[in-house]
Amino acid sequence: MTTVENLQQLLTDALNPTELIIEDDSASHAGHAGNTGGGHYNVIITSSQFEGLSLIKRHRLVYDAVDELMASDIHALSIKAKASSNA
Amino acid sequence: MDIMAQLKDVIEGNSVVLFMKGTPDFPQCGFSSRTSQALTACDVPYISVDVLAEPDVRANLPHYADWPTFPQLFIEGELVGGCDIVMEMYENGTLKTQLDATVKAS
Repeated sequence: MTTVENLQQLLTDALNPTELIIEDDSASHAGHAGNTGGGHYNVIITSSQFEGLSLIKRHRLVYDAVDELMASDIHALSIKAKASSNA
Repeated sequence: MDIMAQLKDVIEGNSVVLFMKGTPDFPQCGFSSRTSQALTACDVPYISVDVLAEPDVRANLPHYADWPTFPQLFIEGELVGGCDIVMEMYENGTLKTQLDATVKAS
């Protein structure tokens, strides 16, 4: 399974999103300072579970869901977490 | 003093602290660069810590506030977030509001 597929699976299972877009942006960051090999990914996610939560709490839910990938496969995750598609 | 106590000292002893890769003048990562630019644009004093120059900080800060990536912005001892959150707050004006309130209070 690719990292994108892994992300898709973990986020879908944990947050039951109504919108989930994952982009692999690794190519534009390969080998820059401090990158130990993991990729860069952009995530746009909409889930009713974010309703009423601050940005930091939404991002924590996303990080918690993908925790097992953060140590190795993911160097950076850019997150846009919305509670509903028009927010 | 152990590293966690040192981190606590820096984070609680300064109203605005940015942990980043590189420095505001010479950022070493796009996310750190954007975050420090947003802070600088808010025109309040802040201190920055280069985690690439401080391996102990880089290894331990993720455990301090349970946040896995850099940069990390702390205001008044509280983690505000990383690049995406800071940029979203910068764009909707809440970053400046929160920073101004911090500076006035100190």
